Amino acid sequence: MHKFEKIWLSAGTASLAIFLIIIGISAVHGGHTPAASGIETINPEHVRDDARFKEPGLKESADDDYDYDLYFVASAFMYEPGEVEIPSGSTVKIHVTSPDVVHGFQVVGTNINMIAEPGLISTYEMTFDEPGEHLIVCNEYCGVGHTDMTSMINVVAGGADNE
Amino acid sequence: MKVFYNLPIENVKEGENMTEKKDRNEEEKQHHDADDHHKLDLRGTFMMVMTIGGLMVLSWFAVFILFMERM
Amino acid sequence: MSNYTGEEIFSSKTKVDKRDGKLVLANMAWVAFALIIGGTAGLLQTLVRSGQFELPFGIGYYQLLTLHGVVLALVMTFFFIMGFQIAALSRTAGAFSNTERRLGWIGFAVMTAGTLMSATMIALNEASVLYTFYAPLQAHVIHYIGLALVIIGTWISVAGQLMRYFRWKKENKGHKSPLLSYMTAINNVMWIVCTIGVAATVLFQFIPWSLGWVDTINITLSRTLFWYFGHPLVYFWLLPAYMVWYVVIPKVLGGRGFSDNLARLAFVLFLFFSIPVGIHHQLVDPGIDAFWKGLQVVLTFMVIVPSLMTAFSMFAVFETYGRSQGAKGLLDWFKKLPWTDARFVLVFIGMLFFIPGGLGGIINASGQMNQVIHNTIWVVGHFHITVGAPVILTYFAAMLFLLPHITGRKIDKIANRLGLFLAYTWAFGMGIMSFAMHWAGLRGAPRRSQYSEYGGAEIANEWITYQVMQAVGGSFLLIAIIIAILMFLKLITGPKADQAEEFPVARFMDQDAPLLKWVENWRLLIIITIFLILIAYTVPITQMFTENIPGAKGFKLW
Repeated sequence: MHKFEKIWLSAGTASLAIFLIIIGISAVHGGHTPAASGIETINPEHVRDDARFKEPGLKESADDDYDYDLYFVASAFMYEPGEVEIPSGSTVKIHVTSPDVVHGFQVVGTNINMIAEPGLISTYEMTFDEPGEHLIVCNEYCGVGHTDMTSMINVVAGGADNE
Repeated sequence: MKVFYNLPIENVKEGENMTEKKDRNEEEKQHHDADDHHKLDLRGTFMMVMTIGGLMVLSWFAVFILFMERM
Repeated sequence: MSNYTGEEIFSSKTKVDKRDGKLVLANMAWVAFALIIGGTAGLLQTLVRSGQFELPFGIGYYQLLTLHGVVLALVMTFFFIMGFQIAALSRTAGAFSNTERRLGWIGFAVMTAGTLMSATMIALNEASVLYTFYAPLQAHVIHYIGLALVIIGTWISVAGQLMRYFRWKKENKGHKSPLLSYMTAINNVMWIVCTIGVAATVLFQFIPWSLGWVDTINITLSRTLFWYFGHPLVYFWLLPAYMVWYVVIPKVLGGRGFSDNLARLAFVLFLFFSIPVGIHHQLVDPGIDAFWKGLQVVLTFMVIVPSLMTAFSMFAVFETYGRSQGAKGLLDWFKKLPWTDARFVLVFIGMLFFIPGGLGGIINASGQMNQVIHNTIWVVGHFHITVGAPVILTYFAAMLFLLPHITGRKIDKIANRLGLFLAYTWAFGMGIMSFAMHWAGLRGAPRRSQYSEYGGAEIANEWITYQVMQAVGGSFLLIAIIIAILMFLKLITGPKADQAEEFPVARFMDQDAPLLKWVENWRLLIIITIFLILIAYTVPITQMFTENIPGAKGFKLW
């Protein structure tokens, strides 16, 4: 192999390895594993009977690791809740499921971007530091009303009650 | 269509076309017998691929920084 | 029928067999037809998304989008690949036998039947499920049968192609197989292994479910089997373009290929690493553990390596050729390249697009970074500058010489000029459109959406500006498609020539170097391929059966 090709391939694969190491450390140590990973099941026909999804929305968390659980039901063609307020600085664990078809759940301007599947619950944890508005859009085709399927997260100043 | 009908195409002889011109070039050049890769001057190639590699690193980190900012 | 082991392969006078040529032309006819239909659909989509246009005749947006994806990403590409590979084999291994050719025709017929079935269902609005047909959206059973037939048709054609390759090997024991023939064999073996996944989900899940024989479908399994197929699909598209880049273009220049052995090695790496990576399309799906997502990310990064090798080889060929023409400086060999030859320019422009295309792909595959762009319009930008530029422009370049080669004509000056205009118009249109898509995607604009103001949300105004840009780009692309069709017509009409246009096949610098024997040890190659697939997929797929994930009923929401 020509020496320049050897150098190029070494530099190239070394860069790729560096990327992988950064992603790996960020995932394992930083807790940034890909969204919705894991297998948590729920019967899609009984989503509304489940205590968590009966009245979806922001609930104080029983877990010490984070402040709130935020439960969303994604269905054709809306999200419940249609709007939610979150105190800035709070750490929220989001849980999304669907009673019908596959939907997307993307909170614009954040890294919250995952698929909601009937039969499974998709979760993601995030700390909402900055006040502001975040549109939620469906980005997985779900039928004729897909484009207008939206919700909104309002991060409001006033601090989180972290006790 | 008339506009480009008669525009000359580089080095093509009368009645010849693309590929016949190339065949003629091939016969006229005897430089490439048993080329050893190591003798080849590939400075330009090296510069191009390393530049692409540089762009790869830059663009990846740009999006990584965006990801971290949105965390 | 002769088998070529000698100098005849590199001669400009060696041709695709006449009877094989007919089969190639039939496939190419579908390519042109699909291009017109699919391209028109694409333009209309961008017009709708600009907010300035409503679809006529009650056509649904998602009906149209399904057509666009199926016709361009499946129909157009498959027919091209079958035609091109048959031509490549006939040209370098020698004419097909009657049986091998008959399989090609039967495959063509089955593909045609399947295409027509699916197209009818899409036209009747019975299959507006997009080309990924994700469950539990449920199309009419005939749509799934049509798609299955398209795949089965390719299997039949591929069988004939593999028979041709292995017959050459048998009749020329101990000789290195012609590079182009070898490359088609790698692509075909990869195809057979990966289509097993989509065939399994369509035959054992979608068809019984849409017939009502079973009530529910395991969604996670269906998505996973689809993407097990869906990622190698893009390499199935890409490898024929690489065949042209490696083997044809150096001869178009008048120089030699860089390294035959490295080219074979690159293709082997594609065979190994194209398939066990499908989960990188499911990085934000529930139902799959993070560990397996991570493993497939690592495997995905390995499939980048053969493209790094290809980049080096391409520039090396250009530079070596340019220096043989007298260039002395660092980069002035660029000027020596044949900028008036449309076969080269189409390919070169494609290669240029592959730079951001590849870089974007690396970002997409980067584990949790995928969340920045998942299902945004960035992804659409990405695949338009990969399959929609390097791949399709190279396909056009191939048709530029194949059509006259087979019909006994030459590329005349007008056709060549049309090729140049095609290249530049495509570059302009795709450049504008894909830039707008990438940028809007980074700003969060979703894909697969029609026009909306999102309840007046501020960010949506930004997205709409980029959608207008996409419509401008898309308009130039349709103009480019018209130029392409005119070019095809020019190439097959007009006076016949004494000596048909060449199908260029390059000699390589290391042509006489000994073959790396193991690259043609097919048993070994297949074992390694399957081994990697088992490592990457056994556990996640098993979990889809054992974790009691509830199945889903079907929905028709369009």
